Order: sequence, then structure tokens, then C-alpha cells
Amino acid sequence: MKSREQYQRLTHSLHWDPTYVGDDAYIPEEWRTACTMPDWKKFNDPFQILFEDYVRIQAEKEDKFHAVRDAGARFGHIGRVDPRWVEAMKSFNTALTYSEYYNYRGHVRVARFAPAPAIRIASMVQAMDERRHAEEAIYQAKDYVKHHESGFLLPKDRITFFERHWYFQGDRSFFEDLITTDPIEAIIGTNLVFETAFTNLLFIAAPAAGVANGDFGFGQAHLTIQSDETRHMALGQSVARAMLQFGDDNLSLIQDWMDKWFWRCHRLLLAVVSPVLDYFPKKKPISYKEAFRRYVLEDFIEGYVSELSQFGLQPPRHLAQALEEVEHGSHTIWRSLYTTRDQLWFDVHQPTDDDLAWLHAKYPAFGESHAGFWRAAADGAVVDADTLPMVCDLCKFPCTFPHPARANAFPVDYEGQRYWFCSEGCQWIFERESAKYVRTSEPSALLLADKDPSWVAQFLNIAPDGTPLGGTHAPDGYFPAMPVPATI
Amino acid sequence: MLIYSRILGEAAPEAFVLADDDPTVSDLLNHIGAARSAQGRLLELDLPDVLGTAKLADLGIADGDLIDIRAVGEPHPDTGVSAKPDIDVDAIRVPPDGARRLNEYEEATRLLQWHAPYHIDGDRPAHQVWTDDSTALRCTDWEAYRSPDKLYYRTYTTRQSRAGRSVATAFDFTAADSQLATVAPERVEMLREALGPLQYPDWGLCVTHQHTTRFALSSWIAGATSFMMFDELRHAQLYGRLALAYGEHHDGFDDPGPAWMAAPQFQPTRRIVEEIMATLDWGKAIILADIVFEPLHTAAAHSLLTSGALAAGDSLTPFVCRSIEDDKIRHRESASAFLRLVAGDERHGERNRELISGWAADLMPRAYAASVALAGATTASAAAVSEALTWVQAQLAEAEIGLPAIASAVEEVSA
Repeated sequence: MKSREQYQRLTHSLHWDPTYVGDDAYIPEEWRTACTMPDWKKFNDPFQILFEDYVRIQAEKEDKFHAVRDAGARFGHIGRVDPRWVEAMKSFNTALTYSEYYNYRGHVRVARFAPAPAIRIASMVQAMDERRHAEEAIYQAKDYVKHHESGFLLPKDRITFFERHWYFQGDRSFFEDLITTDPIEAIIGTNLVFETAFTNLLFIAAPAAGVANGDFGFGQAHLTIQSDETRHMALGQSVARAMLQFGDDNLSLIQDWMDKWFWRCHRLLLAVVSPVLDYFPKKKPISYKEAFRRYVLEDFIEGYVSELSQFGLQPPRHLAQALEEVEHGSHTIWRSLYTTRDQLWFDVHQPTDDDLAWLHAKYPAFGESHAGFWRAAADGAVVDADTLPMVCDLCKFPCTFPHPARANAFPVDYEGQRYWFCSEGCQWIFERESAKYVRTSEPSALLLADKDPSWVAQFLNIAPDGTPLGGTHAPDGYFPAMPVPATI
Repeated sequence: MLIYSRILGEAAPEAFVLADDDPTVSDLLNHIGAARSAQGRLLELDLPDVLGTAKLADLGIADGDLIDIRAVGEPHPDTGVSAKPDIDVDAIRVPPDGARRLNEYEEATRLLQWHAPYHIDGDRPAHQVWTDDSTALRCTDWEAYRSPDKLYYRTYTTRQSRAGRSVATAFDFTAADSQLATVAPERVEMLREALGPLQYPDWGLCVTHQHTTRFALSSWIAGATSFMMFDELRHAQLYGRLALAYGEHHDGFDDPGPAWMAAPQFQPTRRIVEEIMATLDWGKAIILADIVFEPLHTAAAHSLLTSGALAAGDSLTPFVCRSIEDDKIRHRESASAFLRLVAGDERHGERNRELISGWAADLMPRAYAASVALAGATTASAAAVSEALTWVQAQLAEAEIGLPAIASAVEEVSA
């Protein structure tokens, strides 16, 4: 028997069609994909791996990752990481931990409900990868906390912050959406769009910045994560291709899902990764705009999506808006973070002269649209937020894009309520599937309007003298033991 | 009344809440003018000929609307110190409790699953993130679960990589001297019928734990079930590899599917596995799969595969079964810990025990009968299945879950 046949025998052929309980009980319609294939069993995953090979390879990767950690601890590398990069990790690490953890829980769902045996096997292996990535982020957090005590979120704070702090609600909303999708949509959203198009920003561009600023552990962790991602990308690409080859019904679904997740990924990565490339690091090897154009526009859109145009697939419908936002996005995000820095547990600094020169050089629109804000701040103007922003009812980020002076806000009336969106992309996503995105709590301003001011201050992490209280300074029980709206 | 406003060409929309249910333009502009973004300037609505006394409602401005504002005059940026609320920080802080240092299993597993309220909270079940209703079992604290094996990804892959090397060596040795070519014909005949189909029940358990891992209500439980899930893939592949190894020397090991779907000795097992796979209650699925079904099934399957193996010239199969058994023992311990958690819950334990008693009463006699049908009526298989049954009964008894009805039903099936 040839090895491909052996692989099929040991993986895809494990599946059988139940007869005692029937299809409706085994995979109820509620959980099935809307995609169609003449014979799902003929789909073949491209990156075939058996259990025994998987654990052997992954155990070796783990050994290498921990060897770098150990060396970093022994020779004190992590203690010499540039302080500004450490601040980046205070924000980034928790977001990464929960993002990976979601993917782990989300992909076992794909494994359970996907119709093709090959997708089920590959998704289960991917779920284990994602669990690994979450654990590696936890180890990194442990190392950071050990060497940079001030301001890092300890685990007991980490979950509370992720659940309740406004900073994480965009991240949380993204993954709650992704964990509750059609199983093939989850593949398109995660494997095709997020991992093929966007994780190069996370796991190649960001580690380059980390290493440039002395964080070798971060570089090693993310490069080893990216080695898993290549498997995931291959699955996403082969699923998309297979779906597109079988009829127009699939084309409209795949197109819509790619359009949706392209916009959601753009919005999330802009918020989480762009400051990590453009503002936090002292040494900046690549700008967010450059990374976006290289990995998302050139590699994904002009490469992969273009190649699939033979099946009718078009570039994402809001690509032009994304490209426009990338000109301003990191600056808009950093300004927002600066004005709310009292509510954050990491330091948000004013750009230095070197930073400003780099920003002017990399972003031609920076001078006209953003430099004035920093000149005013440098001259002593108080720019701290004293109001609450309008928050997008889809992505949960403030309606402040492409930049504050030209912020978009799009209304939709649905079932007697007015919803606001930060972009045409978010509005389009809402209108496609409004019932899924119905508001689950009142807008922040209404929730806070009736609250005791001390409760609000406590929630927003502000001490009486205006200094932030977050990170390792946040004690057990710091957040009130009461139902807290997630969108504050 | 909630109004969003933005100063044209300057600031992103801000939220203002007006206490008056029927506010005027002046009420609104007073609020907006006090905000830092106004920079001390005179403000006007971006509408023609509007008086300050006009009601917002009369202008068509409703709750939740966004209005555009024009600022008139020179801006005066705020350079004063921000006012901060007066709270007693020390009063809200809780001193450290001096808890013990956590081990790596705890560090890598705890506090990873977030809780309601969720942003996505379901117009239908598939649109729910995590929900208490995903199992009929109730627990005061799902976060209290701990898996006795204390495995996390790093230790799991290390452990299973070692186990894989060991098993691979056994396969290599067996292949090197063509051991399976000389296995006694009666054993080959038995394995031709039984070996390949045994990959399916473990794959069924794998599918079951895909579901339990997705919906379990704490990261501790999902951590344990995900390793059960992945182990079951390992077992299904090991049974398959054994069949492939036999197929190198003997005919009839190519396609186990027809026997699994039709051979009488597998049908009771297949029915149960399909029922467990289709159990959408994740807590119930853990109990059915790993407390009741798996111990009985594995005892029967391994009795079938290993009895007389060495005497017939097959040392490989018992070695592989032993490696699988190592995993199964861990699974049973993890499932027992889950059983103790829900059965011993102070608030919900009694109800949980009633539920589990009912589930076990339904499944246990059938699982027992299926294992007997699978293993055949040999002395060795009867002893193995009986031992497994004793273990199952002991777990339920220790959890104070009613046994008499179950025991008598099993006796009836046995008879």
C-alpha cells in the first residue's frame, strides 16, 4: 500500500456515516455548513500528518522554544529588552493568549461539525497547535512578569481584564463571532483570511521588531508558531479552492465570508498590531503600512486571491477602505490610547523626535492629520479623554476611523433600535446577519450614566490622583463582583 | 437620552447622556461645550436657524442620534489638571492570601475561558459562545476541576512522543523479521474479522471529545478532554496500523468498513458509539464515553486482541494494546475526577447524581452486552469484562450514584 493510501486509511477512512442515529442527530442542521460538495469524502487535506509524526515534531519544537527561554533567563536577555518593547508586550501578550485559546476551542468545533473527514482531522490537529500557541504566550507572560514586574497582567487579572476592560472588547468580539460561525466559514475566516493574509503581520513582522529591540524569546516563539501556521494556511487555501471549484452557490458564500473576515481582521490587526510596529518599539524594522502592503496586499490579494479569480473570486469588497485606513490607522489608535492612558496598564508615550521623523518619513499623511495633536500635547495641552466615544456596534472599537477629524459613523435601524458602525465594512457585516449581532448590553455611556462615580473610576482603573492602577497593582477582588457589561 | 455629537473636522463622535427626557438645544450644547473637545468655544448645531430653546424632538433628533456641531471662535486648549473621582483605593484592595505557588499544569491551564456576558449571545444555539444549558449537569464551580494526570501541551507531546518512539520500534522489529507472516492461521483469521473495525469505536470517542472540548465550561475540563480526543485518534490509528502490518503478509485486512457496518458482533457497539457521538450534552458525553462505555469496550477489545497472541507468534499486538491501555487509564482517572466534581457538588450534587444514575442505567447494561458480544464467550474475555464492570460500578458507588437497578439490569443482560 502506498503512503497516501495508508494516510487515507488511518485518517479519512476512520469516518463512517452513522445509521443508528441518522445524520440529523449526528450533525443537526443547526450546526451544518451551508456549502455544498458533490462528495465531501473526496476532499483531501494538503498537509497530511499522522498522530505519531505530529507529537514527535511538536515535542522537538517545544524543546527548542524552551531552550531559548532557558537561555534568555540564564543570560539575562529578557531583562535587557528595551523598555518600550516591554510595554508593547504588556498589551499584546494577553490579546495573543486569548486569541490562540479561542482558536483552540473554535477548531474542535470545526472538527466536530465539518462535513469532510479530511477537514475534521486537519482541524483537530490545528486545534492542538492553537493550544500550544496559547501555552507559549502564557510562558512568555511568566517570563516577562518575572523580569519586569511593574504593570504586567498576572493571570488572575488577565482573565478579568479580558472579560471586562474596554481595551479587549474588540478582540473578544472578533473571536466570539469566529467561534460561532458555519464550520466552513470558520476555515475561511481563520485559515484563509486571518492566517494566510494577516498572521505574517503577527508572526513575522512583529517578531522582527521584537528581536530588533532585544526580545529574542518573542522572536523564537512567534517563528515556531508560524511553522504551525503554514499547515493551517495550506488547509484554508485548499478548502477555498475546493469550494470554488464546485459551483456558483459556494462562490457567493466564500466571497461573502472572505469579505467579512478580511474587514474584521483588518480592524483587529490595525488596533492590536499596528502600535506594536509603529509606536511601541524604539527600533522599527518595518512600518505597519509596509507590512500590510507586503503580506496582505501583495502576497494575499495580488497573489493568492488573484490566482483564484479564475473561479470568480474577487478581491475583498472593502479593500480600498482598508488601504485608506492603513495610512492613518496606527496613528489614530495611538492617539486614542494616549488620551485614555490613565485607564491602561501599559505606558503610552508621546512620540520622541526620532519617532516623529520616522512617522513623517513612512506616512506622508502623518504631518497634516496627526502631527498637530502631538505638538499640542508637547506644548502642554491636556488631551485626556473626558467623554466616552461612540463605539461601533459590530467591531466594538471606537468610531474614530480613518482618523478623528474625519471619523465615519454609519447608522442602521434594526428592530426599533439604532445601531452605529465605524465603517461601511462593519455596517455591511451587520446587515448580512443582523440577528447575530444584536446588542447584548446598553451602550457604555448609558450604563455608566447611573453608576456611582467611584464605581466608574474603579472600573476604568483610575486612582484618585489620576495614576493608573492596572497590571500587577490590581489586587484580587479589584473588579467588583457584580455583573459588568462587556462593552464598557 | 443618549446623543452622540462630533465637532466637524476635529473630533470623533462622543457620547452624551442628558437627564431630561425632552431636552432643548441649549441643554445639549451645555453638555457638549463642557467637554474638553470643545476647547472653550461657542458651539452651534450644524443646522440652519435653530434656537437654543428648541426641543431636540421638534428638530427630529431622537435618542441615539448623531449630530454635527460647529465650533465658533479661537480654541483654548485645556492645560489644567484633569479632575479625578474621589475613591478610597485601599478600601477596594484585597490583600494577598499567601496562596501556594502554582505548578506548571495550573499555570498553563487556568483562567483561560472567559465568561458571560458575551457580545455574541445567540439568536440560535450555534450562535452561543458558552452556555450553562450545554449540559444538564450543574456545578457550583466548573473551574474547580483538576485532571489527575496534570498534563499540558508540553508534557503531553513529550509523553506521547516517547510512547510513539516505543511503539514505532516495536513495529520496526516486527517488520524486520517478518514476525506477522508466521502468526498462527487461526489467529490471523480472527484478526481479519476483528482488528480493522476496532479503529472505529475509538474514532467515535475522538469525535465525542471534539464536542466536549468545544463546549466544556472551564479550561480545566477542556484541557483534559482535548488530550482524550487526541489520544483516541492515536488509538484509532494504532489499530489501523496493526491491520496494515498484518495486511503486508495476509489478505483480507484492506477494508474494515463493511464488517464494522454489518458484522453482528460489532452492531451493539456501533449503536452505542453512534449514540454517544450524537450526544450534544457535553457533560453527559463524558460520563457515557469514559465512565461507562470505554472501560467495558476496551476490556473486551483488548481481551480479544491479546488472548493467546504470544503463543500464536504475535508479540506486537499486546505491546500496542498495552500502550493504548496506558492512555485509557489516564482517561478513566480524568473522567472519574469529573464524576466526583459533579456528583459531589454541594448545591447540585443530588440532582446530578439522579441524572447520571438514569444515564448509566440506560447505557451500562447495553454497553456490557456489547462488550460481551464483541469479545465472545471465552473465560479470558469474561474475566476482563467483569473486571472492567467492577471498576465502573466502583466509580458510581463511590460517587453515591444508585447502583441496584443497574446491577440487576446487567445481570439480566448477562443471563
